[in-house]
Amino acid sequence: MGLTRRTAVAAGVVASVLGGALLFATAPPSNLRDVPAYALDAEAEEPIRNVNIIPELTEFYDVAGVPPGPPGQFVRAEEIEGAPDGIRLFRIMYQSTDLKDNPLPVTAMFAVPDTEPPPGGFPLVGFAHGTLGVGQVCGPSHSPLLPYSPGYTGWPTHVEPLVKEGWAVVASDYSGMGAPGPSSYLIGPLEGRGILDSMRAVLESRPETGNVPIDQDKLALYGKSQGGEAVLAALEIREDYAPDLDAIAGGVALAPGYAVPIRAALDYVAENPTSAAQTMFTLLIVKSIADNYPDLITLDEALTDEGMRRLELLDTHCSSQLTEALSDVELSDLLELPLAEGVVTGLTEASLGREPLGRPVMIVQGLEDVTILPQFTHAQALLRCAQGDTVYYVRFSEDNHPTLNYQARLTDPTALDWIRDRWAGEPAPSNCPNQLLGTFSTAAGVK
Amino acid sequence: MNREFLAEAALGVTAGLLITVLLAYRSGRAPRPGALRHGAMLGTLVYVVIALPVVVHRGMTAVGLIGILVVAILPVVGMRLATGRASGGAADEGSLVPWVRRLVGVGLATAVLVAGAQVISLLGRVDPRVFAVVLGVVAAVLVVGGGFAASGRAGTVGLCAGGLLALIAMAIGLFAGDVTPVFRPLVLVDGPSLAQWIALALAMLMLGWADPGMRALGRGPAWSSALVLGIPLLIVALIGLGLLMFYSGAVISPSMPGYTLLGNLDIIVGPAGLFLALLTMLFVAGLAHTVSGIGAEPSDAAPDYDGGPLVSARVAALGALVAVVITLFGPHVESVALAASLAAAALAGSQLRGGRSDRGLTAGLVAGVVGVIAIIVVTDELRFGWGSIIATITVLVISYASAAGQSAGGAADPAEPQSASSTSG
Repeated sequence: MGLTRRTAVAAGVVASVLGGALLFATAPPSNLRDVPAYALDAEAEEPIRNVNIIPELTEFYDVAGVPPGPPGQFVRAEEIEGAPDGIRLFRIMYQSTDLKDNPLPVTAMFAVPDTEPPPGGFPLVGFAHGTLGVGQVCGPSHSPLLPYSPGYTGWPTHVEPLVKEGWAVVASDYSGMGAPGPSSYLIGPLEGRGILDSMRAVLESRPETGNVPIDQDKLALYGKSQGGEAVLAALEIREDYAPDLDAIAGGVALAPGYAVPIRAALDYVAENPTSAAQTMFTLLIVKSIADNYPDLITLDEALTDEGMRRLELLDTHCSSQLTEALSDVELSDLLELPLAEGVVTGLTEASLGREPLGRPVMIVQGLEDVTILPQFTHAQALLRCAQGDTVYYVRFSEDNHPTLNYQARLTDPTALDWIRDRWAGEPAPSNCPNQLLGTFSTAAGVK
Repeated sequence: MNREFLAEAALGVTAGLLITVLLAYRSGRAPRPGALRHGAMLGTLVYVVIALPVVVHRGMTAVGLIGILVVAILPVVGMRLATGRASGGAADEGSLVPWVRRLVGVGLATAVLVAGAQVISLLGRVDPRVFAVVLGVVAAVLVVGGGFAASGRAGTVGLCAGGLLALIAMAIGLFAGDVTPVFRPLVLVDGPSLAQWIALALAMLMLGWADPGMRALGRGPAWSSALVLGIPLLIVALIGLGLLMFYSGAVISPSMPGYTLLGNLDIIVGPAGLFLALLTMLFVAGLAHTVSGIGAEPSDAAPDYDGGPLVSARVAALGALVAVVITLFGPHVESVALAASLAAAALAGSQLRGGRSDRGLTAGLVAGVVGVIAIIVVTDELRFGWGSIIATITVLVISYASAAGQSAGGAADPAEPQSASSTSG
């Protein structure tokens, strides 16, 4: 059976070339949607993109006298007036926990169709909002219907369209935004707890929230930017933290936010920001890490004197208003560079990604996004694939951060159809390139 | 996922395969001992491929890197111990012995295939199953056509690729990273537990004992353990050091930081293809070495090294096929290595007692199968840990005890199993 050298060389060359061609021909589909960017309505976008009204904190957000309770326990609710026809809107407070498992009241908005519920009740989506800030005044539940306020940024873009699908939507403010608590920006485990507990709090029909019945078998998550990251975090901690929410069928993460805990990359971004918003992002991250991991870093270790002074803005400014307030200063003037070690360590602790999600996800990204760089989302998708999760990764070639809000919802394959299919029990699609039959979880040591 | 990168990725992989094939057959003359030694060096890298996911999944710091370097020495130690014990030659072995070695060789080949398919599909976004098939076919062609001569020369290619990768990793670490976190990691990881380290070390020792490729090459001239270990471990150390510098003192995979770098190779057009080509060379060379080992004739007759130890082409091809098929089932590198190490432990236990029949080996293999089942039942997964330590020791003891009485009685079946096939060498 031995081959002559000439035959062996020929066989090897043929096998190599054919093999390469086969690899090219059989690569998993990229799901790159080469369509024009969604055309934004400039007039409609104006009150979303230019936040300049900061609501006053009301008594509702005062947690004095709120007794401790188990995670997900409903505390109180009040109806928000002025909701569009066909929608009822509530502000709710519920119990969650901080990273040391101490009880932590958190607030949310709860929007439901004002229609006859379907048999079994309304499906429930846990919505996770994008970056608004970390201040108490930045919680979307304050004023979701008020144009130019932080809460409005997610209303016409996400929450209202989801409710119009006939779904109930509970949108956590996250810890510290609304009710007082540690800042939660990109602190995955904390954001995840807030989202899961908000869903627990509205599962049961109660008079305070209009006796709305929820279909306990149709749950899902949906989030954008910081919220995309929070959706993935919630799924990752669900099995340990909220095993009772077994009915969550999956999650949609649009341009999931991520801060890479690689010091060189962080230093590079600090010195070469690609968008003005990155100054805000970085301050929010440092503040949140210091709040949740005080053993690792204190604010004065991470920030310059100027950074410490600007920190006060986080209590009073939100969203684009905060970006604007920080636009006259270089990020490198706010941070001690090279970045303090505790920030890198804290980011590692705060960023999940070490455990499988256990539920299918749809990750959507615009390739023209300079706020959440596509490379980070790409890494996120590959990581989740490698952990054995079923990932449907869709990219839009010309969309940026704002246009993705609409494109993901309106252009095939739409995120809304993806959720409906999960609830219908359809097999979740996957276009993971880096999975063996049994996935990395069986192939390289991930449980 | 990136169609626009796919052409470059496929070209890179193809180039890596072609370069390895052409250089493996660059000469019709018998290979120099150096080339065969390079094959053995690739054998050491194969063990790193097994150890790496075990450690990196739990987080690799500088201590973990040192641990990997230490356990990677153990297969050669195991091989040395085995050849020292089995000085009587193949004629003194039971008829099952060569097949158990081949079984272990299939396990090693599968580990390389799984790791290669995962890495290349991550970086190149190609289908890992197709890559496993392609890699298996090319490695089999190399071995069928050229035996250890071809796999040895492929080993030279693989080592050069490894050296270049080490330089790239060090450049990344030095220019984009920092040395300080290597000694004081900013990223906090648990790392493998003591039990996992012990289990891994034990498995490495056992695998080395039974590794047919190492054994075949170890019988030859100009074998220097220091040299065979030194160069591959230097490559591993440099790659590890570069990554530790870049990743703030700890490497975890799969992880977002890890994939942020590796998953975005397409940012740099050109070098990305080169990187894939280098990795492909490394994996095809490693696989060719293990496949050669599977096919190695069990003859202990002193080879004259006219092309290296004799290889049964049919057995090698069959072994590659079996490894590819197992890979397509998506096994875990750790599971494959653990199962193979239990088979190796059965051989080691039997040979430690000087057993010359198959009784001890058979008993050990049965105990190994029971051990695999027991580990899965008790721990719900086939991973290194206390369970695998107990299983390995149990297999060793059972095969050792069952081989009792065979040592002084001479070989029950002195007949050396000869392959009916022709050989290439």
